[in-house]
Amino acid sequence: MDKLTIAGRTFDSRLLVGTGKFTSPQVMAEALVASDAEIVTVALRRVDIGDAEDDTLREIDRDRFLLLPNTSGARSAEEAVRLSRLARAATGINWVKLEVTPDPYYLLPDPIETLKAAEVLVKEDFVVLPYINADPILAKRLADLGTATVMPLGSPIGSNQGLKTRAALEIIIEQSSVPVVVDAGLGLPSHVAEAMEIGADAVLVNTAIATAADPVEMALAFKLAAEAGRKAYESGPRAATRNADASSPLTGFLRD
Amino acid sequence: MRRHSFCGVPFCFLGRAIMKSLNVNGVEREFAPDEMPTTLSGLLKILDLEAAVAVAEIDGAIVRPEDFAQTELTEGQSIELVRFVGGG
Amino acid sequence: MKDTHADITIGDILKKWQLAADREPWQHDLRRITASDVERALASPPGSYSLRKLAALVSPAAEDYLEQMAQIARQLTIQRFGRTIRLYAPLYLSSYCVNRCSYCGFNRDNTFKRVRLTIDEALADAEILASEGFRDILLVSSEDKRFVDTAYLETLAKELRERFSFIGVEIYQMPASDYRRLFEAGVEGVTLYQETYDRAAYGHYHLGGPKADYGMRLRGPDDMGAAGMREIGLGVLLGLADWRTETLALGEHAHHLIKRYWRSHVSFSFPRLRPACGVSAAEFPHLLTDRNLVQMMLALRLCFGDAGIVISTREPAALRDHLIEIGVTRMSAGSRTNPGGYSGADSSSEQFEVHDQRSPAEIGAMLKERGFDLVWKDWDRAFLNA
Repeated sequence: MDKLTIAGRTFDSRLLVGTGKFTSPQVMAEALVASDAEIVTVALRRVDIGDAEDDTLREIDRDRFLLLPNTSGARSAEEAVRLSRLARAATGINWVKLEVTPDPYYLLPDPIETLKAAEVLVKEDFVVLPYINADPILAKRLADLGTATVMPLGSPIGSNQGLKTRAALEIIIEQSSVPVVVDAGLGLPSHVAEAMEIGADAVLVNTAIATAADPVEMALAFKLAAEAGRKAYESGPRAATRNADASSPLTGFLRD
Repeated sequence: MRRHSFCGVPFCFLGRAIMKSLNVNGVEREFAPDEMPTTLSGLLKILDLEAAVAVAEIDGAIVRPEDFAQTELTEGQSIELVRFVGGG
Repeated sequence: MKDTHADITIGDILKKWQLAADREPWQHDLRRITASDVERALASPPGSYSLRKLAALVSPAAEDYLEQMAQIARQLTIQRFGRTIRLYAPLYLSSYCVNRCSYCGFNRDNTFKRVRLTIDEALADAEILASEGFRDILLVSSEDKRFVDTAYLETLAKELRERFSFIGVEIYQMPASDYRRLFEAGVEGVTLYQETYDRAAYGHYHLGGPKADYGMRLRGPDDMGAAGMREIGLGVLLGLADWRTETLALGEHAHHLIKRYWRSHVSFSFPRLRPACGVSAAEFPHLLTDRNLVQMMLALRLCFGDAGIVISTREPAALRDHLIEIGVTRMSAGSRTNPGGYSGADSSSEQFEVHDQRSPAEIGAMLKERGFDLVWKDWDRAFLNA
């Protein structure tokens, strides 16, 4: 199968995994290994001084996984930019998943703040992967600014509803000149397979793996689904056949 | 705003003693003048946070972990100590 | 913009796929395409593009599938465009030319009475078109930069925007800044035929003048997109080189433009070499049959569901009447391809022979009879930038 390329780096795996909501750092680490992911997301928070744990990063093998800090918690472009700069200072990695979610109910991304932040971050040489609603025009606007990908949601974060935005995703995939990573709402391996079958370049899954009864096995299931979906896409799936209506020939005039 | 005295003496007994304060993650912390940490590393040591902090901000300016030992502190600064956590 | 996609040019793409030169591998591959490959292409989502799909559809094997392609094309066109056809008229501004293109009646080396229209003369011709009902006009000129320059076109466009809802131009290639000036003046579409994507053929037929620069010509549509032109018209002069590989190059060009200039709409035209002053059919070994033309149109329609498909009066009436059933969205009518032609100028100096001589009214009647909605204009300019 062909490789995924983002910002000039190639990856074998098209499954990105998030590190939130796991019951323990050990389970998280095992699930990441089982998923075969190469890119994992992390978030930034204030240290809780009264009850400080070791830095979560320690559990993640940085030789194996590319760390993708997200700006979750940011509700404005300014906050997202600040978090991005902090993340880069912490790790030296200039990749950032731009996430600006002022809405605390559905955690839907703010398109305007996202665009503003993307513009600043691209200028500061970040590799920006913006999380957005499945808005084809917004996707084009962000790619025009120079983001490395677009990451449209399938359904709201944590909702596990699958590709509610399928029609819009198909348009984004058709029109995009940067890789499309479907992110959020992928609750089952079949959702991931579906996203890959319609041509997504990659998918990001967090909640569905972390909150499964057996996260490690579930991570494996998602890995297989991503591979199956991609293989199907590359093999040229066939849509339903159309039969010619012989009774009204449109090209009969050419026989003369 | 909570105030802590790191020299072990309750604040009220210090009367008009001059304490130095730093705002750390939104909380004012008081130090006796000769006990305020002089560097960021020093602060982390006092708070037992050496392993926990990925990056810091002082008065809005970012401080990278490799610079913690050399970064000097002045009283009145606002310090943010940040770490990575799991996220999607 | 920092992403690497911005750095890939259409020249790079054509080179990568061997569509600009040394096309032998494609000739070989196209002959090897099987019925099964064609069926797979036909089973893919209509209107979606891939080079492999387009190759299957232009292959010799697909010739047995024209009826099926036509049915899909018709269905797709009706879905996207309704049963509407837009009518436009070309307005020729000048037959003076600095280029020496061996296939063209206006070739600098040809001797005939050349004509240039002043702004007033052009407006007079345009008024005749407007009175016939046209609201969509295409300003055409040979490369006569001393007279028909950007300032001339700007002036003309500003006058015409009162009368016409859509002004397109089909003129020599210019830099983005000049296209932008035209856009500000009211020109919304530009048609620029690459003539041929084959470098060797290009060099063979373009013997002198600025147009002899293949690379510059190729960059034109990108500059149009950068200038914000709403309509970008592509095409090759059918007959200069093998039509199958030309169609593949056209497909890649369109795909590149659609991705890069997503606010612009791409159309395909199909100028087919026909006799004109100084041009003989014997010199052109790649002439197309009607069958080939239909296959090419259908292949492009099946790969580009939203693209415009344009047919001019170069084609005879009977053929045009069949073509409108299978994917055409825009056609010219009552055309005169000599400058001043509408005001009664001498028709011996036309760029190409007009084979469909019907008046707009006659074409309108024919379309109505077939159940088409004839559209003179897409929207009312008065509600937008006046």
